[in-house]
Amino acid sequence: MSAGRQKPLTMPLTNRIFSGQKIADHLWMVPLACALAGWELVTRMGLVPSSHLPTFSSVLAVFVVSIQDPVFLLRIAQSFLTLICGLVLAFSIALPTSFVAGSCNRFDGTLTPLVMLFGALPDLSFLPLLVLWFGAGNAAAITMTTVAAFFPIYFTVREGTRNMSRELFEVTSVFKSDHVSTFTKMVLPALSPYIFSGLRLAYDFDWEIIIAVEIATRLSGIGSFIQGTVSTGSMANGFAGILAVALVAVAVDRIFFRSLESWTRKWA
Amino acid sequence: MENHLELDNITKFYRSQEKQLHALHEVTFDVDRGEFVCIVGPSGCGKSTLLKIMAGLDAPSSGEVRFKGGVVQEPDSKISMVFQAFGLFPWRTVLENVEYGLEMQKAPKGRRRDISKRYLEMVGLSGYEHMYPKQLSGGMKQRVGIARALAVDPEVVLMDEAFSAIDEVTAEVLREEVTTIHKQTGKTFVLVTHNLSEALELADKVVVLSSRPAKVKKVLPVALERPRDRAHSNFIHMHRDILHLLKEELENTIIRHKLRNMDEIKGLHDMEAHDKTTQ
Repeated sequence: MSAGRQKPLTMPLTNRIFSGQKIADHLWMVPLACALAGWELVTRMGLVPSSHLPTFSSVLAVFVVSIQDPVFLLRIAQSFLTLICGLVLAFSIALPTSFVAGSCNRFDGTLTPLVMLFGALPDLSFLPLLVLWFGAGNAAAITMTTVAAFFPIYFTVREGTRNMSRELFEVTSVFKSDHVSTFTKMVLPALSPYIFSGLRLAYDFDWEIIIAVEIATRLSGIGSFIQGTVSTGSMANGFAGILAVALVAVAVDRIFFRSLESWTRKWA
Repeated sequence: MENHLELDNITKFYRSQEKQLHALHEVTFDVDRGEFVCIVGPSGCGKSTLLKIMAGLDAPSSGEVRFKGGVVQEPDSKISMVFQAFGLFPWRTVLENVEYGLEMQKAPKGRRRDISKRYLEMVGLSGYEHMYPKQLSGGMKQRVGIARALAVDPEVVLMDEAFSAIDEVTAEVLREEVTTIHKQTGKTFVLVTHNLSEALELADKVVVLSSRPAKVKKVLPVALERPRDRAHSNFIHMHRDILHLLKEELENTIIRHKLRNMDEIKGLHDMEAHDKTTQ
């Protein structure tokens, strides 16, 4: 009884605050703004030495200048392209292998334990070896991003293949679909949610990997740029680099992956 | 007269992990053109396997299915199917799902669309064309499945437990509609079901299968007046007769299992006795 009486009192209030998807969608800005304001305040008051942490406003100012600098943009493009190369390579290897692993138990039993074993090793520990083999160049970086991207794609697509409905295969047979149509109109769409989430995970992993590889090998790219700013003491530039990476990562996520997912969300 | 669809001594063995499973044993019966045949049998007896063999989805170990005289070795464009779990592609809209068969036959887009719309109307789903399967109820999904099966203009429609995954009231309505469609189109229907009333409501002929390995226990023509009345005494009598046949089968299976267990137990005793003597 008392719960029933309380409800009308509390509900309108919470409704008023959280009503409208629009407000809820932008709520994340509040803590972010607080954090940035805190940063500005702490550095302005000199609580943290400026050699360790520049003010947020100076980072912003440097950022605005940097994104008009072709050299800076080129470095970001370099990192991004290396990442995409690795992602595409990993995808083209992982998709067929994981599909076969998901549909054939014998192949799965042979390959998957090895993939798990290999995946359990820390990826970056191979970097010195790769540098020894390929030199501290793009080959090592692409190999690294390929290896790191392989695992999430492999395991998600394998899972998707295992979950694929047997009945839908029978439907394709009954309606006399040829092999190509079965693949493009049945297998691929059925796997697409798994492919998308695998790619997204791989993309996130690969940003970490590429920055780490560039820092470690001093390979030209945004990673080595950030590393360089620390040694020269131009910290604001370093933060501008981090900010640029974050924006690229988020932009691709929003534009590319969100649109793919909004397609699957329509029907899945 | 040449038979429309003939099942000739269909036997099926399955091999699963060392064990060999005898699913079907010399199943033989005919389906006439335009006939509505229901296949009933104890659950797990291999009814669905039989239907898959008729659809060309599975090959018999021996024997053959003939459709208009030709041996069915792969799916035939004139034999269509309605699936138990509806078999709809979730990423396709209702209309696109119905169009699927025609699309595979490379029919031009406009024709595909027109035909599909007509069949959607027939199953009462006009206005739902652009919805996705996840937005539909089970009964509506199966209507889409039926429209898709009919859209390719088959001569035979195979239905695998088509009404089992739908709530009873909706299933009843759908059965009535299928009866109407059967009458209107004159197509041959073969339905596998474990629901006896359903079989008697729809069928011109009921094929009763035995428990595994499934054999034809009896072929019963259903001479009841249409529309079928479940409360009619003849309906009730037939229902009781078939139920009796199936019960007999179940009892046989149970006895057979018991005997097998007894054999095993006897085997164990023998082994024990053997052990003792060797010790």
